Amino acid sequence: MEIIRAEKLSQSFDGSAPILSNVDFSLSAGEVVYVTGPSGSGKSSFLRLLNRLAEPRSGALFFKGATYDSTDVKTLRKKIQLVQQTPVLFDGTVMDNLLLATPLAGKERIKRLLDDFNLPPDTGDKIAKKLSVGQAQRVCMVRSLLLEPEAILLDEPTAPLDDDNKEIFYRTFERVRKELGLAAVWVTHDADRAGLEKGRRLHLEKGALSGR
Amino acid sequence: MAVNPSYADLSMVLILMGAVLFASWRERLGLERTFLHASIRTVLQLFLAGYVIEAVFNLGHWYLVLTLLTLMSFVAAHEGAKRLPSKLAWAPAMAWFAIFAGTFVNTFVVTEIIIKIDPWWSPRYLIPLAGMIMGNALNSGALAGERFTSDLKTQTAEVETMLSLGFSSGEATMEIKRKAVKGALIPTLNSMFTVGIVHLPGMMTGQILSGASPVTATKYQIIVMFMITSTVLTSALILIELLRRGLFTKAEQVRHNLF
Repeated sequence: MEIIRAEKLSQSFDGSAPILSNVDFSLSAGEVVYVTGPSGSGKSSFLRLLNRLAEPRSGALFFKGATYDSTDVKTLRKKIQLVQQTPVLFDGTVMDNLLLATPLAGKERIKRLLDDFNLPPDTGDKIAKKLSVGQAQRVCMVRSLLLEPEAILLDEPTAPLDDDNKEIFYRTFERVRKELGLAAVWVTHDADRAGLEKGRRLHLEKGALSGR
Repeated sequence: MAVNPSYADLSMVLILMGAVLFASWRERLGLERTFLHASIRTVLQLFLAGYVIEAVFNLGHWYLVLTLLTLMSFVAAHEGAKRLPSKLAWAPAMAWFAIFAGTFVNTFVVTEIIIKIDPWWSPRYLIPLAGMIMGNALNSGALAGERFTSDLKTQTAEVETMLSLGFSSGEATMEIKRKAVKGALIPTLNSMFTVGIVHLPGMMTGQILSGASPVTATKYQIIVMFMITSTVLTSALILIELLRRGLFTKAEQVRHNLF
């Protein structure tokens, strides 16, 4: 089943060259797509469009066949989660952050997801803003997964991590993703890195998405 | 008995002005020109206001009173909008509505329910009270609006994270709004703690100087203190709500191009 479809998507910002021009894209359930491209090529802008944090200049987007316009934006964003490059956690404990969008999340489920991402069970009691970047990024992943999304958009989540932590992140994510049957669009510089699941590889440059 | 200073008496404030100019020159503050300019503006604006209000008193028509108040609200909105995002086309209208609504509600309660002026448009009461309310609505609205906008700009990542997690723009900006309203309200709350002990407010002082009994002046001042607090809150909340609607799209997206 098709989770996301983009037709002739174009994006540009006042007066500058188009970041995306006539991009077609689709993401099926359970599929993983890696998007590479030089910095400033519009990879983040692309993900922002898929999460509807921004509006395209032209073109259409569909969530499970329905246009983005006809889908409640809050539901859409919960179902297509975006994890940004720089983790954003709020004041309070890690648990406060985890329960922010899912106040009814079960303790068992939280514990299991924390464990999946190699976070000790007492992580929940820690002050969120005192975590290392690597831990914070994994907490952000858990926070997103608690929403039970159908697709997850990752904007170079491993960029601030060292090699060891990158490795942990890749392996953990791939395992959890498969378990949950989650579709993913992963913007990364390391698409050829060993250990990555075989997925589609797309390249974004000069507004065009190639390799589809 | 109230002393009505003659123009000759009034001209003696030149002594104070001279002292300020001398100090500014002596201490090389470089404020002489600004001070002269500000002094001339003060005298002209106050005389203009005094004569216009006196004319409205003498002519005694309700529509003149309302016209004057409407004009004052436009000037206030123009001043207030200067502190809001310049690319936001509706900013002057938003500032006007916040000031107007805050002023209307609070002036109505004070003049018609608390002190029950007769006729309802009695300029002696309506103009100074509505003017004072408007001034506070302007200050608090602009303060809250400015803070809300600048915090939204610096905390876009946090706000967009909230939006990404499925929150509405209202929920995502709740904390920013709370801080902006508190920031606007704190000077007023502080003055409520010190009024009468550390300072006598201008209006109370003015009433006592012009011959009213200090107890009557006190009653008015109590009304004024509550009226100001209520106005600050009303206008700040209205302006922030309007700004939020202007700075986000219907699809709950931050309008980055407006900052």
